[in-house]
Amino acid sequence: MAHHQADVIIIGGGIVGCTTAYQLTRAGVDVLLLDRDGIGSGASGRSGGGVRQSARVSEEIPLAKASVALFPDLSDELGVDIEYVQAGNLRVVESLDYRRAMQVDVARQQSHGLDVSWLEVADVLELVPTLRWQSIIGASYCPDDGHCNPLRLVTGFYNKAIEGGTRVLLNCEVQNIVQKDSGLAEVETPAHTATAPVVVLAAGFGSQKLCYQIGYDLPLANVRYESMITEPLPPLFRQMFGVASSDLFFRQTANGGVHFGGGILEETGQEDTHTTSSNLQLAVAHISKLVSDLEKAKLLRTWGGLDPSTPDGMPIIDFLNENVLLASGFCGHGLATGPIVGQYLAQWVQNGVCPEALAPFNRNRFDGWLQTKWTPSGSVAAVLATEDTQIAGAGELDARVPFMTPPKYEEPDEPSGQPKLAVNPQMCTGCRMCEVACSIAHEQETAQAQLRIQVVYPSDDYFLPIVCIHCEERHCLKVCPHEAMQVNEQGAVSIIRENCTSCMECIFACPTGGVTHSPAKSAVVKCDLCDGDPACVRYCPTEAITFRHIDAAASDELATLMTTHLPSRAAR
Amino acid sequence: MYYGYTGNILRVDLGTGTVSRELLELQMAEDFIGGRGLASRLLCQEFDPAADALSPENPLIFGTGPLTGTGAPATSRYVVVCKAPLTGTIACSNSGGFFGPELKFAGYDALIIQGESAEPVYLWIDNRTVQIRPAESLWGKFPTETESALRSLTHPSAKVACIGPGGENLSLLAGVVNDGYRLAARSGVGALMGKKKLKAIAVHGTGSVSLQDPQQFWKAALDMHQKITADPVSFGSFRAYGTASLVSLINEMGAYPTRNFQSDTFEGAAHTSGEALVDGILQRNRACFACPIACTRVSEVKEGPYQGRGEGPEYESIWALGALCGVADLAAVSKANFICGDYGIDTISTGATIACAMELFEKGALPEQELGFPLRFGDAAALVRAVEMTGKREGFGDVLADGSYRLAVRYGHPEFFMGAKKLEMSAYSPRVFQGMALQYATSNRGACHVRGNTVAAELYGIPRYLPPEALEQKEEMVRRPFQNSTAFVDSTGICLFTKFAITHREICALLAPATGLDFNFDRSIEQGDRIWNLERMFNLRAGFTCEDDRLPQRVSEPAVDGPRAGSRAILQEHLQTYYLLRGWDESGRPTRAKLEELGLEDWWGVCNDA
Ligand SMILES: Cc1cc2nc3c(=O)[nH]c(=O)nc-3n(C[C@H](O)[C@H](O)[C@H](O)COP(=O)(O)OP(=O)(O)OC[C@H]3O[C@@H](n4cnc5c(N)ncnc54)[C@H](O)[C@@H]3O)c2cc1C
Ligand code: SF4
Ligand code: SF4
Ligand code: SF4
Repeated sequence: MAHHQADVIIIGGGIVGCTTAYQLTRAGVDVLLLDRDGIGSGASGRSGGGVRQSARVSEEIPLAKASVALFPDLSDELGVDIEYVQAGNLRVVESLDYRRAMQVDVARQQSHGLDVSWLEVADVLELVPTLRWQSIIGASYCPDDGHCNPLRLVTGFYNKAIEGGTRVLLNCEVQNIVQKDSGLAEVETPAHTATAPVVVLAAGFGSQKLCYQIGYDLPLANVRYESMITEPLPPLFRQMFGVASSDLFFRQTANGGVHFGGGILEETGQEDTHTTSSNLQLAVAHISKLVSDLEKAKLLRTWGGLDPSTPDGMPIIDFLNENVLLASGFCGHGLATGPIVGQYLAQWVQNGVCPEALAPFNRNRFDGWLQTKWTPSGSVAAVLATEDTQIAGAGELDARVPFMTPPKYEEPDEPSGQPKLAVNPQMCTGCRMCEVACSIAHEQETAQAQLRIQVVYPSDDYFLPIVCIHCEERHCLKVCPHEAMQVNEQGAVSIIRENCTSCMECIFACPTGGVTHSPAKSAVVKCDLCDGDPACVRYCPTEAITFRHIDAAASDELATLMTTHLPSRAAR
Repeated sequence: MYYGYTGNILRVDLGTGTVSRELLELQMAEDFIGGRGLASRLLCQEFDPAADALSPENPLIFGTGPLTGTGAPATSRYVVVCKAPLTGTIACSNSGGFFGPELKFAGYDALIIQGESAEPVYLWIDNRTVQIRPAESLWGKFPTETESALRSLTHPSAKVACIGPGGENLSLLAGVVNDGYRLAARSGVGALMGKKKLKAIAVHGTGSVSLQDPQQFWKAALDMHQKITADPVSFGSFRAYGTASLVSLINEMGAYPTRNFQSDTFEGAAHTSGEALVDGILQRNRACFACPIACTRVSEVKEGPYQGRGEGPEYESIWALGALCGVADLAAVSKANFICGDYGIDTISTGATIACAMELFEKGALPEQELGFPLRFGDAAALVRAVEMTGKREGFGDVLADGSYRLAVRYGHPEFFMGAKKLEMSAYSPRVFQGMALQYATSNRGACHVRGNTVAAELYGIPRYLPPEALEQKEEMVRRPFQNSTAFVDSTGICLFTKFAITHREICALLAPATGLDFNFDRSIEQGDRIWNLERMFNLRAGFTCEDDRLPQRVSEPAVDGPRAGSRAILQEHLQTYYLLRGWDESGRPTRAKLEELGLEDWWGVCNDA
């Protein structure tokens, strides 16, 4: 068995491993890079090549901006044409249901200083005449985004790293990382061992197993993408494309092939990259709906790829112990940030201080979440339900003070449908008691990350809870692709947790903010009307929420109210 | 696993730019609960009380209680603890809103901020991610502006605690402002934050507060909920009229100090009462986290020279900026109150300082050339102008910004300072409420009303009626059901206003299932006592003696007019009995036996060689 020593060992020859190796060797550090396969054989070589800042969670925007700033010079720096095209990224919206959500999301991204805007369909077509207008409502557009050849990008960094002196062991699977009494970490593979003070763990989904062995339960879900490329076609568009309500992405490569694909979230811990004809057909049908004349093109090649996701859509970059620095979980868009992540990782390894830009990706952020065990509404809900006193109405009411006396609501003579929640901002004091009561009834604690009802404060004298209004259309249920929603006895859409894949289609589909994602459960949550005795209504001290029959006009009014004050998803 | 508590204390050193996390010691939590108690205990271990309040060594400690953020009624409170820049005593300023619960959701029981930054900075706490960021662009901004700027710099629903320009210019009247308008106001804690060049703390938390026995906890919370919403004071008058509901009541009693305590009834009270506020300027009421009472006023003056918008004014503010300065114009009082909010300065001390200046001016001790304009009792325009100058430290405002004690001494009339231990008294005349007289004199942060508001007993009969003028039993009342009890309540994270409807028993019924620790009624009395004594030891070590347990001469002289003409504060007679009941010697020092009883014996030596 051969033994090696180095200053830094890097596990994983993807974009993260290769950029880090490049930066470290450049700084004179002795680096050993290991991959169980070949360079770029993981997500990096199989990726869509999008180099975008838009459509990311807020915390990642600064990172992506810094990385995109590096791209124009990379071909020169690496001495290889990475086929970088900076022509913008469009995130296409196909249905009216998503329009509002996308506009809100654009505003959120703008608030982080990103040059991104909402384009109506006419503007989209002016930019890209080869799209089919019939299928499009509009798109978000970030002109500084673009795409590149992912394989050339990875190998470019790899070759430079070797040139600088990085030593490499390929086809060499790391099976364990052990901390030695000497203070060094030892990496074990079937044929080699290697020791170093620092190990950078950048093995994609492969990191999970290694983390588990050192006692850290890395929260990754496996996402499998299936991609393909057509024969070379005449120029169709130069931009990178994504689709708001699905994982479809596409771009045209330098030689004219249209490269496209999409994701399937797999529940298994398996690392297989097979493709299925049914999924490929779906992707072909989807892109043909959006791009003119594509259905005739021949497919040259198909492949599968994995990129793991974390509960909050951000990577985990942090030291696990004194020796092991983890950087994994890039959630389907880690290629673009790779070049800057490599720089920061190299810095961190060398000076021991977490660069500020990486701080949001610490692993501690999941501490509370992973401990929270999901319990169906049980004993506490029972406590809430057995007390027979309605909170509101006590005390001395004074007619002079308008908000002391709640209005009397008339029950319609012939009530249609079932009773629903109705919100009256004129009475709401913004106390968040409804949030608390709902949270207690369902989670047994005031769980901020999974609110079924959330109070917002549009101004200093106007507050209201945002909650499912139990609309007739049930957009959420309609779009759910995984049969994770059903209608319960109260007529409320409720979640079948086992089926929910966190695809979040429903969140985007609901125009009024009725569905929220709960990272702790890895599922969405929403109002289920509490078996007909809503906790929020009982505990609202002012009758700002009531449970009663309302007519269509009142329901529309509520919808407008909610939509107007719906916070961006980032604010929830 | 921690319950009720998050178990984390965040330590931030602004001098070195380092951030670290420490675990909460459960024994310390059992002894000192949280909030005021725990933060004071932490302060004592961090800092020598004899050192200067504005030195970098004086840490600024933000503390939450085990109940903060649990969702039981009115569990919104956090405290700011340090050695007070205004008084030199221990400071503990308390505020509600949503900042405290957010700190818990982000995962922290307390925040210790030490050292001083060279440049303006703000702290950004996003769950476990903590950053010290430059705040150049925020410096000079009002709290509401700071909050909205920070929400775009950090997270759209981040909760913010910050200082206004008053804290930046080291005004000894400055407080810490959270949720735009709410102040942890008294003792000058904002000046220390300004000295540290810490403009703001923005927090975003997505965690939760775990409960040890949720079922038992919610039983207790519901019981409390029902008591509060059935209570005519909390859910009736405080909800309808806010704290200002007291104006008419106290004035009619002849216990409403007027014109720098020269009288105890204000002829203009009706113009500035809670009822007038509702009719004139009130827009909405508003609640703190999980509070059914919703006493906060959102108000706006829409016409005339005093247009403005904000929260309040609260009872004490209406009084200090109104009756105490002889001003009966609600619009002007509200304007002065909004300006105080903008600059982040304490309305009580600001009003009291201006009232003191008015008296100095009227009695010829303060020349007009120095003031720049005449400042007479009842002059609304001059009041508003003086408040603004104080906030900015502009012109004579530079003197006013250091409070009434320093002002009165500077102009040779220390007897015009109406307070104790350099802190101005509040809106209940000690000539009338004998309980308040003793409380003002012995309170650990100076003459304030919320260290033991005996008015509850002397007016509302809670827990039991003792006539205001009565002397017997007042010492015991001040000590136990008020001072000790308040120390306990302030440490749990629950709002003191719930105390009209509930007692310790209800709070203990929440604490035990929330934390899984052995909190019960008997221990709560001891915990309150322990906290009070610890604060006292801090002050003794800081150089205070029984000579500082005094009231101004003026209130010991009979009231000249009003329904209670002839009444006067009687203090000396009480003081020795009070010391005795507390287990202190005749010079007001805790005896060794007392300290041992409370587990504070380590302090014996520290104080006795000082
Ligand atoms: C189909 C698809 C499309 C994508 N599109 C885009 C896009 O358009 N834009 C974008 O920015 N990102 C995109 N991504 C995401 C991006 O490709 C990844 O986030 C990124 O490449 C992750 O890089 P990495 O270095 O962390 O992991 P990987 O590239 O997966 O590298 C991990 C390496 O570790 C090796 N390894 C694993 N276990 C071990 C072990 N035990 N011992 C030794 N070696 C091991 C693997 O062989 C692999 O080479 C896409 C991903 C996919 C799958
Ligand atoms: S969550 Fe939204 S879409 Fe679904 S029923 Fe409620 S309001 Fe309708
Ligand atoms: S009805 Fe029940 S589930 Fe729906 S918001 Fe109210 S408390 Fe939550
Ligand atoms: S409980 Fe009622 S008053 Fe309080 S925030 Fe919710 S709706 Fe508003």
